[in-house]
Amino acid sequence: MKTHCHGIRPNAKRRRLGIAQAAAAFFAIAGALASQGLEIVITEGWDSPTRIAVVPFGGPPLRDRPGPVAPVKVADVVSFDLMRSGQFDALSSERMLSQPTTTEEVFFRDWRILDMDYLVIGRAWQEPGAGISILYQLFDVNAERELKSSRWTVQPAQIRDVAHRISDEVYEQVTGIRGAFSTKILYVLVENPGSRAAVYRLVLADTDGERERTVFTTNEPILSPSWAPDAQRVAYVTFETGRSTIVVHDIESGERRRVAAYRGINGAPVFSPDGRRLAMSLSRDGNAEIYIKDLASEELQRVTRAPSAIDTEPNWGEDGNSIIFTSDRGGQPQIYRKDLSTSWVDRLTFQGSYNARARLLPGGQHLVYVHRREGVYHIAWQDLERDTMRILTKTDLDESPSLAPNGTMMIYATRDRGRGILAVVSTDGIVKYELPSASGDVREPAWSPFIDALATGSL
Amino acid sequence: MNFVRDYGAPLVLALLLHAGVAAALLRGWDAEADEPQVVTPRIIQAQLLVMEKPVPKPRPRSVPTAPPKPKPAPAKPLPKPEPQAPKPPPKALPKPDPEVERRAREEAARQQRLQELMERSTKLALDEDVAEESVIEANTMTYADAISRAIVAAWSRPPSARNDMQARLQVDLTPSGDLIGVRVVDTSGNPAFDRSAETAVRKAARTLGTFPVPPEQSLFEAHFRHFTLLFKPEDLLR
Repeated sequence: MKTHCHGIRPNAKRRRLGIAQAAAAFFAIAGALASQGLEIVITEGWDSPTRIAVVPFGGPPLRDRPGPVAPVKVADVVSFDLMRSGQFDALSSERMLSQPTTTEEVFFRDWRILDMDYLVIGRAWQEPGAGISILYQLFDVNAERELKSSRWTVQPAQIRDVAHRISDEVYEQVTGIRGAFSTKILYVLVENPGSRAAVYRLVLADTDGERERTVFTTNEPILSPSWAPDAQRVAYVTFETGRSTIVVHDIESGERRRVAAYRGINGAPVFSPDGRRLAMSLSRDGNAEIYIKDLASEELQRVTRAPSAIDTEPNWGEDGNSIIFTSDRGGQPQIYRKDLSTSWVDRLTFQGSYNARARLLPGGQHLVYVHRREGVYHIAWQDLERDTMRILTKTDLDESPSLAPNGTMMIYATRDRGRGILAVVSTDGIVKYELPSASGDVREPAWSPFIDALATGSL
Repeated sequence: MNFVRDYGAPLVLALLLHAGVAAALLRGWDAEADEPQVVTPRIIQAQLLVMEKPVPKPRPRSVPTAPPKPKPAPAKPLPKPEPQAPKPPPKALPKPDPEVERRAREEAARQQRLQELMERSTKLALDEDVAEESVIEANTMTYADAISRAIVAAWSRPPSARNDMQARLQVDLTPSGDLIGVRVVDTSGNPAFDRSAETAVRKAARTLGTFPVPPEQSLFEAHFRHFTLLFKPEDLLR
């Protein structure tokens, strides 16, 4: 984030004698243009949010189509998505000098005056049948060229899905990282918390908090929802039978399957990367230990053996061959990793007296977890190879943070004026925002994996 | 005797202290030995050299890593300024001062320089080239540095950028410094990274209006009509 030192080096090689001179001439003749002359080396930059303008989408560009359709303001959804990432600065539509909807109407100079780097335009129109077509184009303002365009034909209810897809594509083009705006979040909403009439709902929503939909309702607590890698099934802990039970729930079909209801605590279920196994924390043998259950064979495998310690909050390594977990075997909660093939256990965190709820970032090289320092909880980020650690943000979070599948954002539960709400922080610690929620207490968020296709019935 | 007795201990202490400070300084020097590669003094030197053309002395030593260009030298400067070139400044300076002493010193310096040059290349004819080239090179550096700074200020890397990435871009300018074109010649493999570099060049061009380029045609042709930029971040967190 700073500038000012940079190296410059002339590319030409030393010239001393006639031979060298001749050689240089030879190279020039040989046409090795790049290898002669000056080369300036740039080693630093000044990183700032990318400036982008998302122009309100227009009506039909085709004369034979019926009037414009805009039940959802696609441009607003895209702008809001991009802004939330913290890596974009979106121009508000009032400040635009023009509002083009087709390539011919784009004057790059207008956008350069506004200091924009990228421009998104688009249009939507009703198809003769039932569908709505939405088309967008992304332009590089500085280079004055189109980078990407896509078109979808969907049902009106899916316009938001399309908007999030557009955000994903723009984000990937500009940042080089796959966008995760089309993903979902799952959380527990508690109505009338603390009273006898408390109702617990497992809720599914877009990552911007829109389109909430209740997946499951019960009068007893719901804990630790987590997604299967297929983004179809979720696992969670319920108390509907009076004791803790781990359930795997298929979102589309509504089918529920009880996976673990052992004596004692049944908690913290997490799907393996292949979706076939479930890691969990069970106290069936006395104290909390990590177990793995094969969902097909129902075979239960015990992973940790620490008779006097609590081992919980399991999380899978990327290859499914190791488990990261929290344990107080050293006297205080710290993060450990167990290799499932060699049974080797190593401790990953050493700073501070409280480190818990670890999650691996995609790539498996970085870890985020909750870290307590001087009585304050922070989200910490650790590079496992270089063993460096950074504090991302101070937080009041009391539940497990959940990572977006592209590793750029993390959602967690926090409290605002005595009410549980959801907040999101970028894993570089720069952006933080809170998600709106209708009413009640919101807890235990879980960010879904990537969802490959548009929601059902698309295209 | 009293003196020694009274001040012996303080003297020894003082000596030790000095030795200690000297040692610490030397050590500190060593510890920071990595940094100097950053070439901070370049700009100052370059500017000085631009003003008074024939001061070749500081160059050869300070930029041993940046060898002279092949092209520019043979152009104009060759014919005359050869042995005379170094003389003018000695003359200009010494006049107001005690002449003899000055001249002796200058002469010694010159001798030393000559010897250095002799050592550098066995051919006498090349001596002037080296001096001349170092001036040109300093000149080049000044402009290159200004360009580089404008691009650094305009370069915003995408979050997928990593410290081991590098992209090489070819830049084409007009003699007035207007940007004709910029294109990626060696990709980093990350399109977003490549584009950020390209955008940085275009933005720098817009911010500056025109890129600063030397007015000397030969220098411009040799280094600035076409040049390459190597983007390789070293300051990222990952």
